[in-house]
Amino acid sequence: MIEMAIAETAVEQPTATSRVSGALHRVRSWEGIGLLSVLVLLYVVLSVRSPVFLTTDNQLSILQNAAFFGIVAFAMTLVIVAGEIDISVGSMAALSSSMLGVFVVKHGVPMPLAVLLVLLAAAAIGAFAGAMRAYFGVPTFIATLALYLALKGLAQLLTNNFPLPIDQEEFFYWGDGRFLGVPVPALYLIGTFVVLIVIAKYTVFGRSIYAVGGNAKSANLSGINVRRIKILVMMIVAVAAAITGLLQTALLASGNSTIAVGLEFDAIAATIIGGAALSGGKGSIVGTVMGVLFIAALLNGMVLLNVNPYAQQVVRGAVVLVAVLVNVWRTRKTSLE
Amino acid sequence: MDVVVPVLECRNLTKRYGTVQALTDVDFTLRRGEVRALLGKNGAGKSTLVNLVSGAVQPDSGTIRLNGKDVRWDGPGAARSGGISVVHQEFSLVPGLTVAENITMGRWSSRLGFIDQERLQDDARRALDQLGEDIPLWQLVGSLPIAQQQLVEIAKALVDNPDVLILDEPTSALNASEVEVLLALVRRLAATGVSVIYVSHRMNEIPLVADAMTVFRDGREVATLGIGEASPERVAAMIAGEVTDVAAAVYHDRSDAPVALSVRGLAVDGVLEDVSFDLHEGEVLGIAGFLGSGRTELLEAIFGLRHDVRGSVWVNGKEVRGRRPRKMLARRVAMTSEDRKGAGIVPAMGTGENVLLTARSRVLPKIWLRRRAESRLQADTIDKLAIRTSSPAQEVGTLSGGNQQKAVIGRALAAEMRVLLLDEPTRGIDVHAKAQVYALIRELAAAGHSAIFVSSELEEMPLVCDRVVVLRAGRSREVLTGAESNAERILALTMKEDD
Repeated sequence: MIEMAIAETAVEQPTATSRVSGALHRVRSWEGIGLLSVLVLLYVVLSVRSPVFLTTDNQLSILQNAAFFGIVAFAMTLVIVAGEIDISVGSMAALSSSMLGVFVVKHGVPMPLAVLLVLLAAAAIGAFAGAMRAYFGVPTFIATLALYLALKGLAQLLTNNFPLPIDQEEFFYWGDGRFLGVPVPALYLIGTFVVLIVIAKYTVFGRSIYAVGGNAKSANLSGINVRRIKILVMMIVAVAAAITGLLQTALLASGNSTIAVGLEFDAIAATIIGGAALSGGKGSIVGTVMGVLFIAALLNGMVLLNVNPYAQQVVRGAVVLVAVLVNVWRTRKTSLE
Repeated sequence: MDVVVPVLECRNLTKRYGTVQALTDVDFTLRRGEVRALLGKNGAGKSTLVNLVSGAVQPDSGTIRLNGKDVRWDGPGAARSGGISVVHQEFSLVPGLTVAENITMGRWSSRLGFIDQERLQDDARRALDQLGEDIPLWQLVGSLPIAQQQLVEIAKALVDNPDVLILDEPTSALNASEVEVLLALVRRLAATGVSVIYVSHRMNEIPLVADAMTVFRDGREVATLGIGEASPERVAAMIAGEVTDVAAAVYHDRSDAPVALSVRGLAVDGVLEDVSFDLHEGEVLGIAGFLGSGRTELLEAIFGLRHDVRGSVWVNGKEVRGRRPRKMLARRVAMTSEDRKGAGIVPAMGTGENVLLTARSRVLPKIWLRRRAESRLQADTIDKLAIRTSSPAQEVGTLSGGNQQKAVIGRALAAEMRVLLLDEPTRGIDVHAKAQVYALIRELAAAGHSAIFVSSELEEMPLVCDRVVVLRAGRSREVLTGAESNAERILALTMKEDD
């Protein structure tokens, strides 16, 4: 809903009635309305089928699980809107977990400093991928495919593929603790959402991402620093992946090179379900929120309903395909008008 | 010639696009082996006729008869196999495939799933033979020079043995000697019985290649004449029609005003040799020259879009070294591209936001968007340029070409740019919108802005420009002032031979 309130750019002072009818019109023409309906439908179906689904505890656990790919999905939205992609986020998360383990366990680095080092390393790696794209024209799909392999390997090298137990009570709190009854990772999810939606909607940088993804040549002629935008979005998603890795590390209480397998799939899927176009220029954080909640609720519901784990995979794949079909169909409809 | 059924016979063809009447009641008849030139301004109806005949779009009413039989194509593929092939202005070749593969694309036959290379080579060879050209069949098209690619393109159209071959601006990318080769080739094809519809802007080619010509204006056929039936002046008048609706610009002598932008000895290898001129404050300077004379490259060189540039550019008396778009914008010099869709607008963004792209972090705050300041600037700009949009939020991609162009110019104005480099700002927009763009540029000049105006439509020059620089063979040549800069005179100078 935030999106609609912001979409209002009326110059004249609207009257109360025109404001209401305007709001109604925006609700109807809002792109996310279809996804929202599907999300509500999913909730209704799952609540009817499983008595546990709508309980506060279960909803909070959905939110906690959503955090483990949602934070990356929000950042991924910016990357995809910019017309790029990052498929190395899973490996990035695994590497940050391993790095934290090595720093803390093997070298006795204080936790806050170790976290800072990990985030800086992630930002540097993201900047590297972005620079490969911006300065050498290497497509981000290829650059991050290389990183997907290399970072994973690096994580395993660092840890010899053994978990490094981190024995710190207060660190564990960051992964599985609760603040005012809300799981801490869920708070991270909400925090990331707020920060990124503000960036996307209210900053010159955020709007420039849309301009670059919508038409990079035009953005360049308009004086937007296209290279800097591309590098920055790749840095943001790498840091988001590192944060995800750190949260998982806290949850498992060990530095681990085997975490976050398939993270890129859920993050990209949530973004696409949320209405972003891989060709760039189109997509919204609000859409991605719904994509994230949809996937998280679906996974949770399938577990509650005892769906065969292999069948779950098929369902996840089908959902992505259907979402893309719906988007394509809708763009075609509007372009015909 | 005995009385035979014409190859192509169109009756009462009519086509509307939304509110635009693209073609009204057009009759068009073509004999076997005839070369017919289609003449007319942009938007006069030439392309619409071509699209209807070649099945790209369906007529609203009217009939098309091919060899005496009524036809109704449901797509370009059907028209092609039915006997009508088109060579479009934009190449449709795949650079990574060989000449033979390109020529036979879409009709590759296979044996047990393997491409029948022999058949493919035979077909391609036959098409090239009909052209009388010899290009190695195995060569990758991407490695051929443009002129040869054009020949491959034509061979590709011949492979289906068309009755009618449509050539849309076939010479626009060719130099003089290549044009000669192509014209001779068209004559040869006609002699083999192929009928040719030849669409061109280049008046001087028509008598060399065509038997007759049809002139279009505002979606109607003005006249069909044999070559030699009308003087070039009369044909030009028929193409132009009444031009009283746009008043010629009053020429302003700005040579006393300070120099806003000056260019000294600008050179780009293979395109520009030595270009120098001064642009004064409040002046509109036209750049005239043939396609390929380096007009676009010149603007790109000034604006810092190229890195292979020698020579110097001065803004307000200071040389700008290491030019990049952002550096030029910081000096309040903006450029609009000739490729409005590809490099001008961001189609999926709102019109208002499109207008602000340059203003942001320049005249608007650096980091945070200020909603009130933004909507005020959006509304001001949209209002000042009379951009027709339902609201600033309407996606700019859904506007008409003229309004898109105004939005692109508006982007520079919203950011308070002083010097505008306008590359073909009137390309592909309707006559009414063109007049608005001319008026806009004149108003800006009166307000002290300077502009460089590049257009391939020479008749626009005297309407907009105070002075016109003629570009020929990579050098800036004559400078025409005010009334001297009429279309005929510019045309003569752009075609002049220097050696």
